[in-house]
This record gives sequence, C-alpha cells and structure tokens, in this order.
Amino acid sequence: MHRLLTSLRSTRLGRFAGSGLVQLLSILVIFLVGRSTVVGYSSASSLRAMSVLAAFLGIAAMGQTLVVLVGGIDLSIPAVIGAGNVMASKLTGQGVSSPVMIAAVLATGLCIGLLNGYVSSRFRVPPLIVTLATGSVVGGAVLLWTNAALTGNAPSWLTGFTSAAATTGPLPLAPVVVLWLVLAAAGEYALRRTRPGRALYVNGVNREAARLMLVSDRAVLSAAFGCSGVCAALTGLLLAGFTGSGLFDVGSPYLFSAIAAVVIGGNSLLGGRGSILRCVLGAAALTELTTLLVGFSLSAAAQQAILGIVVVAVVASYGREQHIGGRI
Amino acid sequence: MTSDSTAQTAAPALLEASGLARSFGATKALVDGSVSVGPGQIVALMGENGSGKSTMVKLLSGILRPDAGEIRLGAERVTLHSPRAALRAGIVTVFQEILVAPDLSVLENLWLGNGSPVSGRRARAQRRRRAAEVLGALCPQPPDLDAPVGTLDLMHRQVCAIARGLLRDPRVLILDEATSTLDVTLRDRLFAHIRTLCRSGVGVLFISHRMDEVLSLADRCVALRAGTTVGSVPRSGATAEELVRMVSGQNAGAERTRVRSGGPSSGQPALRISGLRVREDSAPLDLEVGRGEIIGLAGLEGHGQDEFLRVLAGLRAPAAGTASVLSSRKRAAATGYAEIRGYRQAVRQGIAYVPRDRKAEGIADVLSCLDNFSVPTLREDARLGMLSPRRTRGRFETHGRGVNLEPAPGAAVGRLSGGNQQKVILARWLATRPAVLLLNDPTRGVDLKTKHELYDVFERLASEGMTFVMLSTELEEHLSLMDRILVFHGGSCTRELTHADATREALVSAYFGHGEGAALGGERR
Amino acid sequence: MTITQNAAARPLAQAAPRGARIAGAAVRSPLAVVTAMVVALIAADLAVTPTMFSGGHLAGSVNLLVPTALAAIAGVPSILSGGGGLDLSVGPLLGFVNVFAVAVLMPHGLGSGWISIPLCLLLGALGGAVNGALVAYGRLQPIVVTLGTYLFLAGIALVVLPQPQGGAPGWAGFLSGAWLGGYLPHSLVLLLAAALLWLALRRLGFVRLITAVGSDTRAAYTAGVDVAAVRLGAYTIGGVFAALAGLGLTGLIGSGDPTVGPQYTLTAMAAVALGGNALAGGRGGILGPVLGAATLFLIQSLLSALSVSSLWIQVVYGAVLLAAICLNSVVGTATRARPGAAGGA
Repeated sequence: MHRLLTSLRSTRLGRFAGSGLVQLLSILVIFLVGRSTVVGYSSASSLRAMSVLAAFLGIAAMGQTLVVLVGGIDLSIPAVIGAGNVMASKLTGQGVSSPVMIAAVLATGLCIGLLNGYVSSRFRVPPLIVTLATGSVVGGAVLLWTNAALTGNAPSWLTGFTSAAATTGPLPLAPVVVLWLVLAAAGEYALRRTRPGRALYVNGVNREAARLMLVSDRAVLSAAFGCSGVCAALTGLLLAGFTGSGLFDVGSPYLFSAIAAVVIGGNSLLGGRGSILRCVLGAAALTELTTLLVGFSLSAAAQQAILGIVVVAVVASYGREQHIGGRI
Repeated sequence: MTSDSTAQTAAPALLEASGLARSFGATKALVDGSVSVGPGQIVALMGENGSGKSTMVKLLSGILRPDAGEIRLGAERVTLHSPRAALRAGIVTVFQEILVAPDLSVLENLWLGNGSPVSGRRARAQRRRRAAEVLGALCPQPPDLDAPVGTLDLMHRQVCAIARGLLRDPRVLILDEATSTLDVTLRDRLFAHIRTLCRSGVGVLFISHRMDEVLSLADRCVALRAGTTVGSVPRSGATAEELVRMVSGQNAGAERTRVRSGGPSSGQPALRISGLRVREDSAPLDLEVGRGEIIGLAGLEGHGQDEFLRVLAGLRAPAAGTASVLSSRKRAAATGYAEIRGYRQAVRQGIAYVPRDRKAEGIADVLSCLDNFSVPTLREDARLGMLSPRRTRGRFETHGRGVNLEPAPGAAVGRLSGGNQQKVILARWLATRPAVLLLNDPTRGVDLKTKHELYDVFERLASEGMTFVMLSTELEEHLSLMDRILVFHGGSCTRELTHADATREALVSAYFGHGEGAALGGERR
Repeated sequence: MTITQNAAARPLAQAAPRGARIAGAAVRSPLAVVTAMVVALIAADLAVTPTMFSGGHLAGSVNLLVPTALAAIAGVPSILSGGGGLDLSVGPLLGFVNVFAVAVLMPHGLGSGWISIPLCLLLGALGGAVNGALVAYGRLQPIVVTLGTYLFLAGIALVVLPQPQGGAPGWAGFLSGAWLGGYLPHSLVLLLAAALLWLALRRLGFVRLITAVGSDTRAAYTAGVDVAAVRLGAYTIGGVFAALAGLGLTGLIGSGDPTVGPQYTLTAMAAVALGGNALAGGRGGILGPVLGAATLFLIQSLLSALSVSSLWIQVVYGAVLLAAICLNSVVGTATRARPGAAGGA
C-alpha cells in the first residue's frame, strides 16, 4: 500500500494533490461504498445536495484552515456563523438592501476575527482560549439580540443561490458550490504565491524565526483570524438562504465538523503544514461520509460516535508525530 | 581499519561499538562506525557534519537502534532500547542541545529520572548535598538549587545538564559538544573533573569540533568520515595536521593558520557608537567601525558581548548612548547616519543579524530552503502581489553560490547539517544586500570544512566593503579573522586589541579583566 | 535568585524586607488574578444575597459547583503533560459515567455504592487511558484524539440513553444531602477525594514527572523518564477525575441525562485558563482551576440573584474569561525566562 501511494505520488496528479492523495482516494472509496450500499446515493440530486452541504462546511473550514496553519484554532466559528446568519436575516427583514447587508455581515465577521488575532498575539494567549471567550461573547450577544427565537427572513436571491437544484451557467452545480471552489482556489493561490501566504507558513512553523525574518506575528494572526471570521460570517449568511431565516444556534454543528474537516484533510494542527486544497478534500470526504451514515439510517448520535472514530482513524493514518527520539 | 590495536591490554573495553550502521530512509547516516573506550580512557570522536557523529551518539545513548553492528559493555553485548536502558547500563550522555526542564528547579532537574521519585527526608537531604557538591565542582558560583532553571542563562543550564549526567555515576560518559556554551573557566573545571573521573576508571567519549579541546583532553582520537570510522590513533602520536587530515581526508591546508590580509577601507565609518552602555552598570563605549572591517566580540559568556550585538541589531535598547549606521537611504539625517532604534528599522538601514540559536531563531525547519531563504526579500519577486517562483529560485541560486551552498531549493531545511543551515541563513541575509553583517557565534556546531568556507566568504565580502561585527567563542577565530577584537568583561568593553596585538595570552587575560601583559599561571590557552 | 552574570564575585544584593517579598511573590503568582476575582465575586454575591452561605443555599450551590470544579481538575493532568496536551472529552466522559450509572448499572442491579462507584471510576480511567494511549503511544495530537473521543462519547451516551431517565443509584441521594444542617454538603466528599488523590500523586513524585514532561519533553526523555508512560498516566488520572465529576453530576441531577455532559468541556477549559495554569504545559496545579470554576459559578449566581436574564450569562462568561486571560498574561510576563534567551537577561 505504501509503495502504491509512493508511486502514485510521483504522478502529475499526485504532485498536484500535494500528497493529499489519501484523501482523494478515500473520497473515491466512500463514494463507491455509498453507491453500492445506499439507494440513490449516487443520483444527481443526491450529489448536488452533498455538494451544497460540502460548500457550507468547506467555507467555514477554509477559515479554520488558515488559523490552523498558524498553529491556532478558532472556536468562535459557530458563534460567528450564528451572528452572520441572524444579521443577514434580520437586516433583510428590515428592508436593508442586499449589498449593504452583505458588507455589514462580512465586516462584522472581520472585526471579530481581527479581535481574536489581536488578543492572541498581543497577550500571548493560546487562540483556543481566546476564541472560546469571544465565541461565548458573540454567541451570547446573538442570543440576546434574537431572544433565542427565529427571526427575519432571507433575501430571495439567496434561496436560489444555495438551492441544491440550482445551476450556475453551464455547470450543474449550485452557485454556492461554485463560490466555494472559487474562494478555495483563490485562497490556495494566495497561500502559495503571495507574500502573506508564505509569511503565514513561516510564522506557523517557527514564530521566533519568522519575527527575525520580518514577519509580523500580529499581522499574520490578525490576517488568519480575520479571514476565519469573514468565512464564518459568510457561511452564516449563505445558510440563511438554506434555512430561510435566522437562528442563533445554526452554527453549533460546525464547531467540531469544521475542525474535523481540516484534520481529515490532512492539515497538521501544529501549524505550518497543510493547505486549503487539503481542506477542500477534507470537507468533501466528511460530507460524503455523513451522507453515507444518514443513508444507513443511523441516528444523529450514532453518526457522531462514528465520526469520532473516523477522525482518530484518519489522523492515525497520516498525522502521527515523530517518535521523540527523532526530534533530538 | 577500525581495530584499536595499541589500546589497553588485558582489560576489556568499557564500551565497544563495532560495525554500527543506521539509515534514515535512503540516507545512510552511519555505515560502519566503531569506537572503543577503555576504563579511564578519554576518547575523542571527531568528524565533520554529516560524518555520522551525532547518529553514533544517538545509537550509543539509546535514542536510536542500529540497523547493524553491535554494542558491548565490558564483555557483554547489549541492546539499548531507550535512553532509560542506556542510563541503566551506565552510559550517560550529555547532549549538544541543552536539555533541561525550565519549569523545574535546579535540584529537580539534577535528579530528573534518577532514582525513585518517592523519597524520605533523609534521601532528599542527601540529594541536596550531592547536587550542591557536583555543582560546586563544576562552577565557581553555582546557581541556587531552588531557582527554576528557566531563569538561568544558557551556560548555567548546560552546567545543570552536565551535573545531571555526573550525578548518575556513569561508567561511560559521553559528552556531545557539551562545552559549546561554557566559557573558558568552566570548561577547564569540567576537564579537570573529567580527568578525576577517569582516574577512578570511568571512560569518556568526547565529541568536539574544537581542535584545542581535543588536543588538551583526549588520550585517543577516533575519526569518522562519511559514516565510517577511518582512523583511531593515540593522541600522543598525532599532530593537529594529521588529525585534520584523518577527519577531512584533505591536506593540512584546512587548519592552516589564517592571516588576516584585508582591513578597513578609508572614508566614513560604517558604524558609529557613542556613549553606549549596554547595561546600567556598563562603562560607556565610543567606537567607530570602518567599512570592510571585521570586528570580533569576545569574552567569557554573559559579559555583555551578546547584549551589545543585540543592541546593534536593534533587538535590545541600550541603557544609554546611541549606535548609528551609515545609511544608504535618502531619508537619513543630515549627518548621513541613522540611529539604530529597532529591528525592522535596522534591517531597512542595511543591517543584517544572524542569530545564535539556529533551531530556535534561525530556521523554519519543515519549510524548504527556498522559503527559508526568500521570506525577508520576497518583495523582489512579486509583481502585483503575485510571486514568481522562477525569480525566487534564480535569486536563491545566485546568493547560494556566493556562500557555496549545495542543497536543492526544495529540500527541507531541518534535515540539513548545521553548516548548510547556516549557509542558507547567510544567503537569506546577503540577499538584502546589507552594509553591516552582525553574526552571533556563526560557526557554532559547524564542521571544520564549512567553517573555513564561511571564513573565506566573510573575508571576500569584507574586501568588497561589507562590515562585520562577529561574536565568537573561539579564540582561533578571533586571532585569525578579526581586524580588531573587543573584549567584554562585566558588561563593558574593557580591552580593544588589534590584529597585530592579539595573542592567546593577551586575549585570555583580557577575558579575566587583567591588564595588558599580565601572565596567567596555569592557563594554557 | 538568579545567578549574576559576572564572573567576578559579587554578593547578591540583599532583597527587600521579607513581607514585601512575600507580597511581591503573591502578586506575581499565577493564582493572583483568579483569587482576586473569587474574593470580589463572593463579596458581590454576599452583598446581593446575604443568605448565600446559609444552610439550604450553600448546599445547593456546592452541589452545583462540585461537578464543574471536578471537571476543571480533570483537565489539569493532560494540559500539564504538555505536547499540546488537553482533554476535550472531559465533558462527554463525565456525562457518560452518569449515563452508565443510571442506565447500565442500575437496571442490572449493580446500583450499590460498593460496586457502582468503583466501576464508574474504572470507566473514567478507561476513557482516560484510551486518550492517553492514543496520545502517548499512537503519537497523535491530543486535540484531535480528544475531539474524536468527545464525539464518540457524546454520541454513545445518547445511543445508550436517548432520553433523560430517573432512577439514580442510592449514593446519588447521599451526595445531594448535607451534614450540620446544610453547612457541610456531602458532595464535598468528592472534592476531598480528588484532592487526596492529587496529594498522593504529588507525594509519589508523579506530578513532578508530569510537570517535567510538560516542561521539556526531550529533556525528560533523555534523562531516562518514560515519557509515554507518564503521559498515559496523566490522561488516565484525568479520566478518574472526570469520573468523580460524573458521580457529582449524578448526585446533582438525581437522574441520567445524556445531553448535559458535553457542556462541561468548555467550562472546564475556561476554568483551567482562568486558574493560571500554563496552557502549554509544565506549570500549574489543581487549586487554580478550582478557583476558576468557582469564579464562573459565582458569576452565574450573581447574575441570577440580580435577576439578569439568563441569556446574558454567555456574554458575561466570555467577557470575564477574556479579561482574566489578558490579566494573567500581563502578570505572568514579569518572571518567565524561556530558553532562547541567550546570554544576558
């Protein structure tokens, strides 16, 4: 198996996938399993539904990936998703025009993200705790704002944007899926071919060395968390099209599924290793898997339990750390 | 080739490693390594980077297991599964990297992993006593036993690491470049202690890049080259040139005594330092460094030379006074000099700083050489924000050639030898076209061949007008490379020696704050 | 107490008077911020609810606090052991212990304290050990491992017990009672057990080993410490503490509830952060997190006593946590000198 992987890795596709080959293969494998065991799994409508779900997850996970690349983790994503969702619905319900609404939502996400980045770098506190705190504040604020009730409504174009049956020009994919893939491609390009992207990697691997190489820790963290905030807010906004109105709680499933997507994609939580491409693969694989489990008529609880095992199994296949002897 | 023929007669070797081999994937780090240490013997293990020395040490200390070959203790063959097993067998290793737990106290660090963690009052008192004894033997001013090790400087941390090893009552003591941060006093005390240990039958395997240490301490020298033991000679028979030839396979040219041929050019000085006090209690320093001059910063560890260098780099604010650099930028003050006020600003003014601790501050180990090289200067490869890898690779090759760098741009920097890593870092900063290059102990952990390559690079750049301020902990470097040497003592620069005046005795006496010409009894250096 | 840099002999300057030094050390202690908060909150709470420490009130408060405090303690060993160590699964684990006691042990007639309590502790240890084995021997990242076990245990709890159900073992009733007319709640026994366990581990030197491993893993390894075994032990002990928390939860709610466990994870993490423990490992004990848990609890009682809508709790928690961690970091920066500070100070 190892030799097969190694020889595949040297092919053109293998190099492109940046050895996210295991993930590509598992996507294929899960698909084939689903196709043969679950009725309607590989039907066009099922695939399109999966792609839309993967798009939501993928966009949220993209922000998480950037944060993970600098060695952090963003636990405020569900709260920001909720905020984006509620804000989009409420503002639309109050008659605000869509461009303004979109700008407001994304700006809110950006501000929350920048705050996360600032506090993490200025006070040298682990992002896990900072985002835990800000997530709590934002989540609570949204809760208060909506009084824990459904509120507002989504703009009409958004429903079409996120509908599984929709198409984008000649492509049989919903616009939201195209948006996801375009954002992912842009993000990946930025990581590989722009200065901020390289700076991000260096900072994620060795913060001290990065500082001496003129990479500002504060700038990198702010950028990464800022992007994460924007992505989360965007996810919330898009979800409004999916659910029809705003609910404070809509983001909570994404707390762990976004991390799971990042991890399954093969990004190291240590920082400095990984890419958005891997995140895309991870989101796709995860969505396929959950759809498969739903197809097996498993309860949400059982799905969760299985997801836990899968996460550990996947990481065990690629993410084992070096034996300590190798690090001396 | 590997037989230790002239060695001890009837007594079996304390530690005997023969035919050791170890590979990492496709890399054969060790092919046929052998070394033998008899009771009471001090064996020096020498070799360039990439020769397999560190792999050998890891095999002998139980961190790695050999692919082939055997290790014998006394007459018995042993398999060392882990450092625990090696320690239990009596092989104690002090590593090149200073491995201490910063949050634990000195006392706790000294007894880490040694003996049962549960202890009654008497046992605890005894541990204290023995810890104080060992520290006192190594250190004229031992650190407080209850101080967290994290509050100690690097040198005293290394003393703690050594003391921890000694407290295990080793049968064989392996010292892997364990003297790298020690100053001359502590080194000598350590060597004296080692000789005492040997008199009671302990065998010592001693790895060092420093010829003077090897010559003064070893009974026998074993050389490794490209993973194979190529020679094992008694020290008394060999000259430094022979040893170097054994190690590098080259002719004696490698350890020739260099003579500084260049010198500062005339014109405006590159650096102007006035009234600079590194610490509150330092004496003010006034200095002008000419273009193309190579200045050495010397002294016992922790006497202010490191802080001085950091002030020049903009990493540290001085207690008083200013340092200014001749600025090439148009925005400089009317005098043409810009005061050094911060790191980024210093870089902008043409100062480049190469840090001391490569692993912690110098490299992003999993990233490629290309990334490690290009990050500070990426702006040059960007058009409208988009990077051109081709352009970056081109610059990498150009500057890499300037420092004799071989590895491919895509190789992960963490896997390179110390010398090659240093070259990548140098190339990185040379790409910024600095006017002043600040080097903090640049040849530490670098093999002999690369060291001399670097010296050649420095001299060439200096002759082209680049100014160097180099902190060095090796007397040889100061004597052969520097135009002027600033010796630091007690936080102040107490002596300034020109290349002509610099002799071993003068330098060392300056280290101790003695006046010019004072003889120091007992100091060989 | 640091060594002078000077080779020439210089006596250490005589320090300030003893009282000032103790005061200085107290302010710089990682517990300073959280202790101050607890004191301030107790004062505020007392002002609003003078009867706060009365018998009935006190017992109820303590019963609420105990599971949270124990969950916070459960998070300590894993974080202390370093290497990115933390245990996200403390919440689901303690919840599963609760579900196990009510839905598995009771129906099989194993509800007696002598049987069910050890079995619950064993279950906790087992959960911790699985985490520990995957982290120490599998060499997987702790956040990922415990994320996996979080999801697994949260899911399994719901599979075993889909709906909350009554019928807790007899000792749950005991735990909800109190001695001395309510002034000494029985649930404190659990906290006492946890404290004794920790003290025993300290006496055995195990806590020092965990701290060493967390402070510098490579140093511990090359000094002959069995790092993997120590980490395994740390997570296992964390599991035992989580089981104690599960017992406390069972006493608190008097039933089995599969949904309530996971909430404790984030509260536990927040409590540990408030308590001043080094989140990178190598420093900290259990007192800080317990005080952190008390802080969170006191905030909640203060808000409900002031009749503030419960919707505000999240916002306040988050704000307090944010303030505390920033303060902790400012206070803590004064003393630490980490490796890499070459040469001079």
